[in-house]
Amino acid sequence: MSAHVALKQIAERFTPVIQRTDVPDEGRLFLYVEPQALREMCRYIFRDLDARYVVGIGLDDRPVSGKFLVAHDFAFDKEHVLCSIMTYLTGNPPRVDSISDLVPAANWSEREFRDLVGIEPVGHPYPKRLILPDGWPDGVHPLRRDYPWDAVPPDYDENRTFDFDNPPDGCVVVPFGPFHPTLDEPAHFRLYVDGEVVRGCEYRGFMVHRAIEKLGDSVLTYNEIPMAAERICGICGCVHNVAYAQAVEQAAALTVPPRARYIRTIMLEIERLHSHLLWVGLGCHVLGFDTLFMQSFRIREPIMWIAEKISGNRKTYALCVIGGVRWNITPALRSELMGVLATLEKEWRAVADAVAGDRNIQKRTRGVGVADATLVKEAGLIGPMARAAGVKIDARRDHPYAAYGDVEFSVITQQGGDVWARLLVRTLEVFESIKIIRQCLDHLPEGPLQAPIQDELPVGRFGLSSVEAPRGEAHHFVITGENNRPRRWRVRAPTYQNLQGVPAMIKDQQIADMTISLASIDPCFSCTDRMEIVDLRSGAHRVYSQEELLKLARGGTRTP
Amino acid sequence: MIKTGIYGLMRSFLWLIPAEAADAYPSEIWGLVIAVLATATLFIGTTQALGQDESKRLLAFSSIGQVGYILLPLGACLALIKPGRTEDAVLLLATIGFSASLFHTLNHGLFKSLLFLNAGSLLYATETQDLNQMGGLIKYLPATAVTALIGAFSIAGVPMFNGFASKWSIFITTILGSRYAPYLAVCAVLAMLTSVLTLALFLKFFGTSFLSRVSRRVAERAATGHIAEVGWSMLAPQIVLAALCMTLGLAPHLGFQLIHRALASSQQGLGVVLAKLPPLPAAGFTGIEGPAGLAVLAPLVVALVFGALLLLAAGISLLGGALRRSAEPWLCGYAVESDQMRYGARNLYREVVRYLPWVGRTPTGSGGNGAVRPAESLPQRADTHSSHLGA
Repeated sequence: MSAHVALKQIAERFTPVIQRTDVPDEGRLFLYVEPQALREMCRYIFRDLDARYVVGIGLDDRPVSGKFLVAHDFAFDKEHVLCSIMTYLTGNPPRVDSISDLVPAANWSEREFRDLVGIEPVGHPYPKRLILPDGWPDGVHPLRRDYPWDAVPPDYDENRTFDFDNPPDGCVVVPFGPFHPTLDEPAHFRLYVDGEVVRGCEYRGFMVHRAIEKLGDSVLTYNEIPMAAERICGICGCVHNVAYAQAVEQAAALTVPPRARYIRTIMLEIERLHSHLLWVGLGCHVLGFDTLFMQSFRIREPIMWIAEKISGNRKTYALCVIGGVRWNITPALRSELMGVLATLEKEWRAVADAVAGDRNIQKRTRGVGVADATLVKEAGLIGPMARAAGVKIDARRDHPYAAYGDVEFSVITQQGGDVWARLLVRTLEVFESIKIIRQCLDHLPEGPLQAPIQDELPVGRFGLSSVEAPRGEAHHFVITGENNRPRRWRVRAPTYQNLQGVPAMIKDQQIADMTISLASIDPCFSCTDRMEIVDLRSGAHRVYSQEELLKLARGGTRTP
Repeated sequence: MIKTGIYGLMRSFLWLIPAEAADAYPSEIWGLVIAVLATATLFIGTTQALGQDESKRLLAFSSIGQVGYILLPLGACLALIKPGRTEDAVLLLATIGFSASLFHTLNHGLFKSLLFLNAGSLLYATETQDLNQMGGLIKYLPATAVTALIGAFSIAGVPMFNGFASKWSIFITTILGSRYAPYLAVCAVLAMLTSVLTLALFLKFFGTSFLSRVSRRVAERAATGHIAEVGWSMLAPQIVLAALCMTLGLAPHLGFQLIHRALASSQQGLGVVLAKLPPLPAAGFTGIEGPAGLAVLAPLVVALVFGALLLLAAGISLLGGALRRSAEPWLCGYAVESDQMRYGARNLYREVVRYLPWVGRTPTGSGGNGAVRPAESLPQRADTHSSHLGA
């Protein structure tokens, strides 16, 4: 099936309410519908056509059309189609029918555009603040076009506390995070604990939301954004770098030279190698198995070195520009990379065999943090989370990009959906990545690294791009715009969906299993927070206020 | 009241039998029956108490367990005075067993009365029996807290307190007696395990009421001046009972002498057999001196050693200039402390109770949540807590 077939299926039922359709190629479908039909169409696509929910996007389109726009992205994985259902909203404040009761995976997306753009999802089951910080005043929506990118609301109240729910009867609240919840990044869970059993939780995250999307549509330019996108994640940054570039290239109908596509594939797989090795190490560290933690990191180190030789950096490769890549793989680098892969494969085979027979790891991970196929569907879980539950989805195979259409590899799946299955999936995917890199190196085409771009990019075009990050599919949505920058750029990192599955995974299990359950989604919350300054000589210490931190952070950088 | 049955059992099994007819009396079978039932009672009673959240219910369930402790050495005593057995060592063990039984009866009378009076003071101060709603009361009821701590240490069998002296003799009888009746070894091990559970139980009783953070209810009552140390008329009996617990704990021979005097006045039945032996030699400083090979109980020495070590530690700390620091609980740097975060009595030992469903569920049935919940418990809310993250 292709985009045309999907369109035909939807059109059979919804022709009268479809305002406009756009099929730029066989893998993409854009539909504009009447607002009152949005709910039913999303339900039909999600339930009857069994599509996967990807993300919801809110946009302040008033400077162009005078309206607001809401888009819900779906993926037809078996049919290789990414689809965006869009609807224009009039009215002030803008309101849209919530689909979260029909499509639970849309829960956070709708809360996000409620916070940032001020589009009210009517009928949302839990319309509570998600993204904005505690002290942010109600009714101020920073992602609206008339809101300056660098403004702090004058009535920002840093002493305001968040209004948390009461725990269910008989439960104690155990705070978990934001300081070091399993890994170094901040997120706060309030666990409702009954004895030693977790009965539910409330999540408060987005503590280091850096408004990168806002920067993308008001300060940065097309070719600066890949470098900012890369900094969304410290582990799988290259994924966002490539996904953004591909979304713009798709919107502008640019063709990327073959050699650039192959180099992108190689770098993405190098990143997956180091990320999976990192996770197996950290997962074992959380379980208290530090020997394997150290072995993983030892085996991982040569990958970091070869990445540095190719790009100049161990991480944050700064690989893509629109239409190509910036780094070449020379014959010398190629043979060295082959050598690194040979050693890695040998050493990792030994680790994989040891893990597969280790009863201690199995006792800590089997039946723990279970996310079954139903939860995968409802919460929109992706990547190793889905594959560990036997759901065979992988953006590399389902929505081929870069050179993935030219290489052969297996999609690793396991049964059970527990931490153990995820551990096996990640361990075995390392070998598939090695296979992919070898094929790319063997068939690396000659030719230029970048496509020449003569004209300005066309305005008002839509681009969708999915890239399989080590943690699951990263999805970028781009609308091209004026002034050499996109009008809207929406990023959906894989953890955004996977984290929504955590409450169901930890429910009714021991609180002691919370750490490895959370770690097993390979979460990526991103870093840095407020700091406390201690004067060693006097022993005095004080906490920086919000205002002082802002001054420190912005001093010496770009001023508007 | 619960001791009446004990009196009846002792009278029936030891004194109704004429000494001349002792040979025809199957005392070892009765000993087996009583010891096994006692072991089951002490274990089940104590584990059931672990699941209780209300002060007086908790104490009442623990009384079941303590009666098991009283009956176990009585069973051992019966098992040991088997017809025809005349060795002094066995008869001595039987006597120790009988004395342990009576001594623990006396001790239980003391410390359990004390603990019930403590629970009464708590009820008076907080107007609730629900341990979940108490917390931090040591600040407001310091004298009650000290007596309750003595009561808790006594019932848990901490050395230097009276419960230790009687439990010690129970373990002597059962462990040494297992040479003649092997099943007593199993009873002894279970009794020791249960002794640990008793300590856990009273950690819960004392910890969740007097220690831990001040609960919302206590804070509210304190703010309106409704909470204060109970009056002298309520405090005096608690202090007297606590003093008796400590006296018998530091000088247990006083108790044993009392029991032996009672035994010596016995005119008939098997009591005469038990009274034949000389009383345990007692010395003020070492407490009880057993015959050669038997363990020696010297609580005063233990107290002196502990005291000396404490002084030494305090001295080192003082000389080294050790700093004392106190800090608010660490809530991961973001959450604001609230009553919802207090780990109340309800949450303690749920796993123990969960793995022992056969010891009997408590009335509410939900893993030992204990009796009726008070009206002002946490508000009921819609079931959003598991669904609002989209799962």
